[in-house]
Amino acid sequence: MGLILKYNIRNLFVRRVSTLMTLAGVAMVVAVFLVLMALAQGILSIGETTGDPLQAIILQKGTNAETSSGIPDEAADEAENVGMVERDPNGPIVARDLFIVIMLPRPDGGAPANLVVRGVTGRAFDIRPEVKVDGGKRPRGSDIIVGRPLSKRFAHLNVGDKVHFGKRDWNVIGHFDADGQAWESEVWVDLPEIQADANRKNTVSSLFVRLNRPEDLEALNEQLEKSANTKQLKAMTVRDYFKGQTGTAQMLQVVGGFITFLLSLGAGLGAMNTMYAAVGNRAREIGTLRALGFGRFTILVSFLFESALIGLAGGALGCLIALPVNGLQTGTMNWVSFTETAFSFRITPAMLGVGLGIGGLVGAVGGFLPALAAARRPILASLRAT
Amino acid sequence: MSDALAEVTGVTKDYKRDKQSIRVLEALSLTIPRGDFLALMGPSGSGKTTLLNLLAGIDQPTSGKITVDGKTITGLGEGALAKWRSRTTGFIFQLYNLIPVLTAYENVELPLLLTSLSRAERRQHVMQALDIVGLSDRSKHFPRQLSGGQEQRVAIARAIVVDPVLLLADEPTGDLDAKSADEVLTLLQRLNREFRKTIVMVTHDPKAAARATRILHLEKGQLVETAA
Repeated sequence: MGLILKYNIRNLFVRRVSTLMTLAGVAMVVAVFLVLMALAQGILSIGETTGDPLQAIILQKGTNAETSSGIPDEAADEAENVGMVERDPNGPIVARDLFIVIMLPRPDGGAPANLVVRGVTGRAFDIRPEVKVDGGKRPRGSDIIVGRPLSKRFAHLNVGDKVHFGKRDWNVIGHFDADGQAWESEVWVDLPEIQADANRKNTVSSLFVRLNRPEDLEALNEQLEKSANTKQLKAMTVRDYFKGQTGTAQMLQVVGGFITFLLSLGAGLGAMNTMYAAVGNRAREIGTLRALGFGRFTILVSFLFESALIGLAGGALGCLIALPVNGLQTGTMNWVSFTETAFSFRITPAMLGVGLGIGGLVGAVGGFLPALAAARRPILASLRAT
Repeated sequence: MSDALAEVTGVTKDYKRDKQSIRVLEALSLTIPRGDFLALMGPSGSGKTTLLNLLAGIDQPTSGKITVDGKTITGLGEGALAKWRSRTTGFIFQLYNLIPVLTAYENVELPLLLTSLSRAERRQHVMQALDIVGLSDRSKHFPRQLSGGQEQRVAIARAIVVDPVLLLADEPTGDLDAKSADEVLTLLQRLNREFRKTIVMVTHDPKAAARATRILHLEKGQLVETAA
């Protein structure tokens, strides 16, 4: 049936303008879909990539965010020493972090936005080996390090800048990367310094621990329950913790799906219009093919294929239009901590496949009624068409 | 009986226009012997094209029976009729009805797609058909690159490529100049004489009808025979 396919493909070139218009409509739908999904995927990927199965976070019970968690030193000391936490020559691998939210202006003078300042000790780097600071610098005293994406999204966060928050000025001494993990949206400060500055001495927000084995999480929680000091704490995997903070992505997926559906209706009607015109213009050809012995089903499939082909080409064009956003950095509000999370648009091969599928589907659905009309038209009526 | 290729028995055809029923053919009976070259003539609306369409299986009679090459086609379902058409008949249209986006070769190849022939076998059949109509050197040309006469010859090649027992031509010279018309008629005569094709041709043109071996006149849905 290669010849019939040739027939359909060549006909697309005969009516170039209407084909291109329909194709552009489908491309727009697919491009919008991909950009929205790339946005959602970028946010989701923070939850998917941050932490590993051995990393757990201990928070105060009754809270799901570091913002509202407080762990006194005596509880932290005891929690550090439960048996399930991995040890190295320096002791248990536990990072005590203090989570503070500050507000900084945008580089272009726009409205200020919230961002995370994390008070850390040297252990923070042991438990998060993915954090790579330029020149291996560490935050000490007034010296702070900044996640690289933040330096572009906020003022005063370039290396050498002085930035004011809390009660004093701080010196930006380096930027760090973290393989796209959530830490890249944070400013890291020496823990004792920020505790003093924020009047939160002897308290941290969270403990990040490295478990001996992933299945030790349950035992860790049981152990925490046993002591009066730690029974107000609970542990969960770091991965689950960050997945719980990507609600924006789910909202985007729903909204993106809805917008795509609405746009698809328009593009589908465009495809329908194009195909009705094609069927009308080629009535005599359809009659001839039927007279030669081609059945109704062949005619239906042939026109359906032609329409789906426009959709697929539109889908491919939509993918090409959307691809440049892949890797673009942007930021969104974390609705749990009300701070900005920097992330990159992510277009995956599977998303491109779905985009192509949407294009093909819009074409096929839009072309179905015209194809049916072509197949159902009586031979003589088709042959008499001018 | 053995030399009758097609038999039309008591065929009546009514068309509905708005709410009115119009009788185009009335109790018409006709026998077309194998190897016949029959010209159907008659005034507009006499039912000659309707009879041709009924013989081609692209229309069904209101009543009566049509048998072609031993097969009764009246009452056949849509799919069976399409299959029958693809194997038994070749249709030649007044306006050639070539597919504009396909080359001469591809147009001729179309009916062969409904057979189980391999690509190589199809090629052999197509080239043979184009050779018979004298256009093997135009196989890669698109219809817009051919003259009217050449287009009709490609259409004839398409009609004979499956080696059908019955060729049906609806005003095959109606859109051609005198020279091209003559070439087409000569080709039809050759197909009848040399290749023993049974041909039924509808025409208004007495000169064209004179090339047939038999002429039948249709008037108000009834047949009037005239010797060629």
